[in-house]
Amino acid sequence: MSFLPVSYQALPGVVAGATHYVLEVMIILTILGVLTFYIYYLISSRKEAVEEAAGKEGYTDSSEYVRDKMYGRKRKADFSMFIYDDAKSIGLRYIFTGIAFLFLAGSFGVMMRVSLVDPNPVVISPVLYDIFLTQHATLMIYMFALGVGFGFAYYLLPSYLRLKKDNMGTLSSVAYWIWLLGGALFVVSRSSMRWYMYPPLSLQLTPYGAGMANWLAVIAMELIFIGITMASIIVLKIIFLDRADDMPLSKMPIFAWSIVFTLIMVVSSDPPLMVGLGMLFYDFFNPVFFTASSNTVLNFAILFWFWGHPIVYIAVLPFFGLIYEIIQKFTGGKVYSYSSAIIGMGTLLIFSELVWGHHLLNSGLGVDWVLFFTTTSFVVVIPSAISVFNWIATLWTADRIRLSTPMLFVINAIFDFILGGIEGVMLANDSFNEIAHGTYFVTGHFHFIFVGMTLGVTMAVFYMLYPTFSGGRVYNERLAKWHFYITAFGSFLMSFSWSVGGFLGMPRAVAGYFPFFQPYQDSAIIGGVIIGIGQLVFLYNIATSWLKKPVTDTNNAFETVEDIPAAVSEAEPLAKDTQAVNGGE
Amino acid sequence: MSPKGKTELMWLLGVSAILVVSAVANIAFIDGHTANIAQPTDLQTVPANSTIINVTGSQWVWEFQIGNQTYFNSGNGHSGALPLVLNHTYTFEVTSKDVIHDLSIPEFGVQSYAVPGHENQVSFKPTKLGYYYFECVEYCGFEHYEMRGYIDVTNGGAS
Amino acid sequence: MEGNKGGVTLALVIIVVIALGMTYILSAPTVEGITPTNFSHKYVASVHLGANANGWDFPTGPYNFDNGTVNPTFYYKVGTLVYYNVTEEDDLPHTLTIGYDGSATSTIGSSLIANPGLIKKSPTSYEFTSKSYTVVTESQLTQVPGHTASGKYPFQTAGVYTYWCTVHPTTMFGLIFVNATSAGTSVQFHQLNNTPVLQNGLDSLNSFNFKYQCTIPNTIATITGENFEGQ
Repeated sequence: MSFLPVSYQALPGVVAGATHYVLEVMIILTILGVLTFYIYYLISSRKEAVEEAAGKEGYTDSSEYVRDKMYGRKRKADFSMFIYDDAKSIGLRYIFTGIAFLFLAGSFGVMMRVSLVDPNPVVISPVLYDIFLTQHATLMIYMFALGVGFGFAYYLLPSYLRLKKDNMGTLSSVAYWIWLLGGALFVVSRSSMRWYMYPPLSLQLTPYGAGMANWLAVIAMELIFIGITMASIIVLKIIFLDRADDMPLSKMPIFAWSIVFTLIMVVSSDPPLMVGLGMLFYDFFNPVFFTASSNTVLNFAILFWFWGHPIVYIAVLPFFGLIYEIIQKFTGGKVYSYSSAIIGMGTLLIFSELVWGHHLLNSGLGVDWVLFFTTTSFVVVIPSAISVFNWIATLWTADRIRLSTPMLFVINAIFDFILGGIEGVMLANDSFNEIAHGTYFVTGHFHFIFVGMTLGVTMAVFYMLYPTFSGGRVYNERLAKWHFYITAFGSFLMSFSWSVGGFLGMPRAVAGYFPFFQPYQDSAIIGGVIIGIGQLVFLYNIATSWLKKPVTDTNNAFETVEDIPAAVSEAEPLAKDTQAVNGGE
Repeated sequence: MSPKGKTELMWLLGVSAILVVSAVANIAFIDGHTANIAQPTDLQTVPANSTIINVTGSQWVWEFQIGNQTYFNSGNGHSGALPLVLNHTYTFEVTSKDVIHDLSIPEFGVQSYAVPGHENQVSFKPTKLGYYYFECVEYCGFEHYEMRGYIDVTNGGAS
Repeated sequence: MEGNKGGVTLALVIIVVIALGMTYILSAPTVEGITPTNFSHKYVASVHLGANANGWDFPTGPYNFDNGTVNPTFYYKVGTLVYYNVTEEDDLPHTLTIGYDGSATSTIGSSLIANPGLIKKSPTSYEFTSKSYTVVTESQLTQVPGHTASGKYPFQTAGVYTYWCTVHPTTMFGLIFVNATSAGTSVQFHQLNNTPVLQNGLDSLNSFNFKYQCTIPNTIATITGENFEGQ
């Protein structure tokens, strides 16, 4: 017993379940090992062919050969994206992994909703509810929102910035795999500590506390952080050092700027939590850092929210940039004010570091800090207001707006962002925060923004890039419209019901509730299930339209022909097994 | 200044005006209600004429101690509700035995984290008669949702 | 080339991921022995036990060696939340662990009712039941005589329970009977001088318990406005 963490020994009944659990984990690891070996076999046989081709052209490094052949070019989605490490392949990996995690975490979310049909937890055990709660939040933020954010950055920036070279592929690939391993291990851990991991709960290694393998979840979080920090630095390097010489910072696309601000936020705010997680892991074995006896329990919460507030901006800021780009494509004009777009996003970066305390207003920060954090929370609205104004003004002054599906998603994103933003201003009032903190009002506030903007804009960009991904197919516009209307309606119904219920004090993160909250829960359940159905329509649309003949060229609205560097715009087929990459199939 | 810039400036001034009004209202609220905001007990004096209620959260039960009398949260029913007297000031001294909890009474705008090894203080005055619910709004594990119950505000008489 | 199964592959991968993830999460261990599942208790009792390697007993003073009855038997009604205060009487490590051995009509339960001496003959066979819960853990105790640690356990299911110390399972063990209805017509035991004796009726058991062991401290009062009987 002595080799187990202290918390294991201290807590009851673990011994009985431990053998069973170890067996289960061993079986899973065996299956994963076999799969990994098979994938390794596939990769190495492909690699041989590429190396042969590279050798013929005098390259010593086959990865460099692949990147030289493919960089800057439009890139079709197929399994070779997991083998090649040019920026576009990395981008595709992130996008499709992110979407897979969106569906996984989304199914957890729907499961959570469905389990709340009864005020008492009769559908699933509260233990399972808590696991779903934790997994839904963490996977959605770190794997979906950050994943597609990095994906679009890696995929679009090479053509946006007309990169001079693409030479960080191997490191990017390593960052991706570390990030993915972290996400997978987080699911394996079946942690139920919620995404903010407050000790001492996260130190309770039982199904009733944070889950039997919560230590694994903490390792997984560290891996995710290592992955995203590496990727952030690489993308920042790409933007600042590798962009074309005739592209000054002042003329950079707004999307590139939004990525710059996002990634600066990542690398400047995640060190506190990485350190905090290290200390938390130490506490599993010897609780010294976050203990009640030394009155340091809240320290982790502070370390967490120092990162935890920027992360919620990180999860939307790339999509701010994408909204600017999409609006320009669909109105055919320029953005209303380029400089105020940059200023709006840049000031958001600065203020995001100053408002984290509003997550802890009722924890005993003291009146002075409450004053400070509520006031800065009002100030942080101004940058968002600048962006909202800019979007609306661009649409307002446009000659025409093409209302196809991506544009509808964007308009809905702006609408939901305004609603969510107003709820945010309400929460910044301490008098209201005392009522609504920890209730579904907060859940409604950020689901308006995350479902409306993060999910909606992801879908918009995916639809716009779809001809390139699929090698010249077009999606079914009718089904795509259905996807939009269903998602938008479900999202509004769910978030709005939560907001009303939360206004009346309906607590969030609970497996059961007072029976008088039933109406708000029920309508949110209907909304949640509707969102789920909407995403199934999306999946069906992609699956069926991909089966049809290519009917168009592989261009997409984002990457115009002029964006592709002239040097490699001619088709230069690689070795025969890589031809598919170039759209030739 | 270009017409574009003027429009933008007007919008910003409008938004800022609303925000300034909200922020001033917020500051005024905080200044006028410092006792209603959760703060560490050792930084704050207890308001005069208030009854101290020691609140202890533990997995997964609230324990309210008034003098020698102890009440536990009672779940869904009204019976066994924590009795409070109308227009009398109460001071919660909130702490926890194990993990972080958060006591919230939405109707009275009372909210305070219950942190192990750290005592928070929050004062309030019930101004309405009837039953009001309280709940734990900080996720604290398995039976987090069961950490809820009622307070019963009466005209008093005995207290 | 005509069609391409890229989209179908994506859909299949996503379905497989969802199916695997969902199955994996839904198969998570949700029960752990007999850890309490909720707190809808009707009664409250408090027990003060002395942890002594020679057997559980009742300390009278601050602490007391071998004070009277060893390894007492307890009787509760269903829905009783019991607060356990354990005072250490020696410098050895102890735990207070409760195991559920089945309902009163189960094989174990009825064999114990028919022959309560069984547990005396083979106490360790009742130790490693799959359904156990440690109320007071080893780390809560200090191995300093006189130190008191506490824990609580709500008895929610009627039946026969054992309690023991996992460090000294051959000497420190006893029985807990939880009665199904408040009317309490099932066969009950009255513990006397270390040997369980059959008795009928609930009143005697309640009066026994509360007379000898179950003092109600000031801090424990009404929970639902309903006091337990025998107070």
